[in-house]
Amino acid sequence: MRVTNQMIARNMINNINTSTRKIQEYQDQLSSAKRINRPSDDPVGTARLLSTKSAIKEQEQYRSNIENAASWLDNADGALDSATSILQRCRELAVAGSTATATDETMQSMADEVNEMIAQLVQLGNTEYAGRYVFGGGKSGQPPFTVASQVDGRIETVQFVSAAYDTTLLDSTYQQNVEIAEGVTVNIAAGEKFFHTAADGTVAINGVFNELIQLRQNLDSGDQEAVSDQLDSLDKISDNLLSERAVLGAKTNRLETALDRAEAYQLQLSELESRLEDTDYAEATIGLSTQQTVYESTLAVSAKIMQTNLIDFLK
Amino acid sequence: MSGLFFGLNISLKGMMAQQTGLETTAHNIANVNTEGYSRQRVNLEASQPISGLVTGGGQLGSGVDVGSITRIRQQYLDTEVRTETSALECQTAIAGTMDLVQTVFMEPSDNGLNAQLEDFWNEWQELAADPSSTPVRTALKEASTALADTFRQINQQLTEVQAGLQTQIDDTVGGINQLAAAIADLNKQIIKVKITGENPNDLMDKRDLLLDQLAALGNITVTNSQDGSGNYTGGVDIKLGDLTLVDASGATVISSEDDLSSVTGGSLGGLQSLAGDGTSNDSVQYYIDRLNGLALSIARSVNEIHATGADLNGDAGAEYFVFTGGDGNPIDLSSVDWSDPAASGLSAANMAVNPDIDADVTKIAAAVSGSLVLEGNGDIALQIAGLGDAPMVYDAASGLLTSQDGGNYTIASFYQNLITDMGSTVSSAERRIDNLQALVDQVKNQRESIMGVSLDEESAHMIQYQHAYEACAKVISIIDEMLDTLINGMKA
Repeated sequence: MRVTNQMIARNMINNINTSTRKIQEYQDQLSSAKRINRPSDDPVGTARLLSTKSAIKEQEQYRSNIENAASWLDNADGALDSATSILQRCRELAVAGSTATATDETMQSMADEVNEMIAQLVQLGNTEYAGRYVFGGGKSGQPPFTVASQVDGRIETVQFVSAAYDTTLLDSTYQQNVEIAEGVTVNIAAGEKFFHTAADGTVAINGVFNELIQLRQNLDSGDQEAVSDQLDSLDKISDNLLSERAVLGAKTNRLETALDRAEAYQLQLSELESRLEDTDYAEATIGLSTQQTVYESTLAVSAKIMQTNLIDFLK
Repeated sequence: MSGLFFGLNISLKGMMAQQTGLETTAHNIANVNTEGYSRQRVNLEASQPISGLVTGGGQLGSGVDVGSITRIRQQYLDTEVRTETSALECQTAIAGTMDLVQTVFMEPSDNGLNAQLEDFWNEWQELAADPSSTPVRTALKEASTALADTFRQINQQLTEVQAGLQTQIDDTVGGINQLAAAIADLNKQIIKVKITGENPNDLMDKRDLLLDQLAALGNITVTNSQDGSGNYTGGVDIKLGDLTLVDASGATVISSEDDLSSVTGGSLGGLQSLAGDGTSNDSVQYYIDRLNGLALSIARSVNEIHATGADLNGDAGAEYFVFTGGDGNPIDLSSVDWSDPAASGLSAANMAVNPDIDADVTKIAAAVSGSLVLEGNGDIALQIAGLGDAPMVYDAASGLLTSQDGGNYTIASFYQNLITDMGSTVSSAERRIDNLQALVDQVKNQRESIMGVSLDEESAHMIQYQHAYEACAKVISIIDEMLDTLINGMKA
């Protein structure tokens, strides 16, 4: 092949351009610390990177959901723990009130104490967490339990939500679903089983309050037999409380497992993200220095080629 | 026998011929860096011999004549160079604009649509976990506004890129017309020279250079034009795609309004596919269509679920996203034909959060509707958040994604596919550019190898002509001595 001066010049310029372009690619990778700066750098890798980034954000959201839900359940459980001692005290009073030694007077003061316990339980039922009422289910914006009528300091009825409330609304009220993993939800609504179950196990709005108000009335009227009859019911209410707490405990366990899983998954995803996105420094540094060597030798060779021609040797 | 003076004449002709050779060498050296110049060669030939002077056979040579001066060039290599240049420039145009398109999408980054979408779904999750909180509702509203803004911005920037394409097409067509006019003009000059029997070497080089430039703008076919009796006139006919650009009658002015569908190469070919109707992934419209489809699908699915919920005031969920019509008021979505939403004027360009919700975040419907206002219930918010992972099917006719079990897409994966599509278009165009550039360089080198000026070669020619010239002069001086001998020596 005939080689002309223009060819030599053009090839030289092409080689220098190719070399500088490659140097720039490596410099981009090293200075941005990112392997993918534009989708065209690695189209498939970009899609994987984007979906990994989405998944990481999603897992972060699940973690935050789980942590919030766990605090919520902790709070509910704490309140129910206090309710346990209230029920125990009420039972003690009922036992004392049903013994023959109890006088009308002592029963009266026992009724006072039971009344106090009911007021405390109403207060517990209105426990707030982060501005929301824990035991009202979806009706969390207002105190769910209100003392509806009082006669000389005695609580006669407790009202849940509103006077018109009925049992058909219970299921929809106690729905507070939180997503803890893709497609997995936990209902963190607490209190339905404890507050709204009667001693005979049937659904009854304010079942627990009705039972205690009944106890107070029986103590007030000095009816020892009736008080004694109620001991069984009080035990059953305590059982309801225990099973409510067991359910909450189980939910907390589920949350913990889900949290572990979310954290582990997030870690994996972060590793994947780094693999997809981050520059492999060793590779890029070696690539850069190789290209620099190529560039320098291209320059050196070009400078030598272009220096002489036949004219130099003609006299 | 011839006379001594005949020898003088032969040497004189020789000196003149060598001088012409040296002049042509000078012309070649002077043009060593001229783009498109092809080296010229003096074709020397022995002049008509004289017969009858030599007894016993053989004719007496009469010296040298300059037969012709021709350029050394291979036309098929020009065709090669032009074909590959057209293909290269087509891909260069595509890569350039598609690179702009991928810049508009700003992926992968923490601020692109991908991140905005995830933030949007996450805010619905937040709302589901704390449905009555005003700060959470406000954060959701802000994330939704940011999402709609991003959709609007990308749409607007893509539309600007598309508008820029039309300007580029007009400019390119203008460039083609200018080159065609210049070539038609050169055609005329060349034909005039050719008629006199001479070779207009430098004019032909100029025309070939213009043809190279024209090939960069569009795919052209160049043929040598013939006159009525089938003889080559020296002019060239050019077709741009199927359109006649230059013929014997001169240049035909083309306009961007013409049917340019046969122009598939050169920058104009690239620009045309970029400005195409959106069926192929190297047109900007393809990305605008899918972006719109994505925005409308999100708005439609969110609105559908939102309408089934109840807000903090117990009212049914209003339209969450709205599309602002030409009159500045939201378009009535209930009358939209969702099989062709564009007909109703819906696009990513006019998507916004319902102004009523924007003004009062209690109107966000997070709870299931029922006789009770359940401010602590976030089931609807949860359902909307679930759209982020919901399987969807894509309907190409309407451009919409709709929830369906077993669907191939999620909203995010549809978007990610779009980004891959875009990245692949750029990277494959860039790969093709690399290959085509190598090919163009190679055929240009081949062509240059034949037509280019080599200084070493010209230097050698220079010496050759110089020596021949000196030798001819020497012959003259010898003849001079001989004449001296004859005339002065015989005197005595």
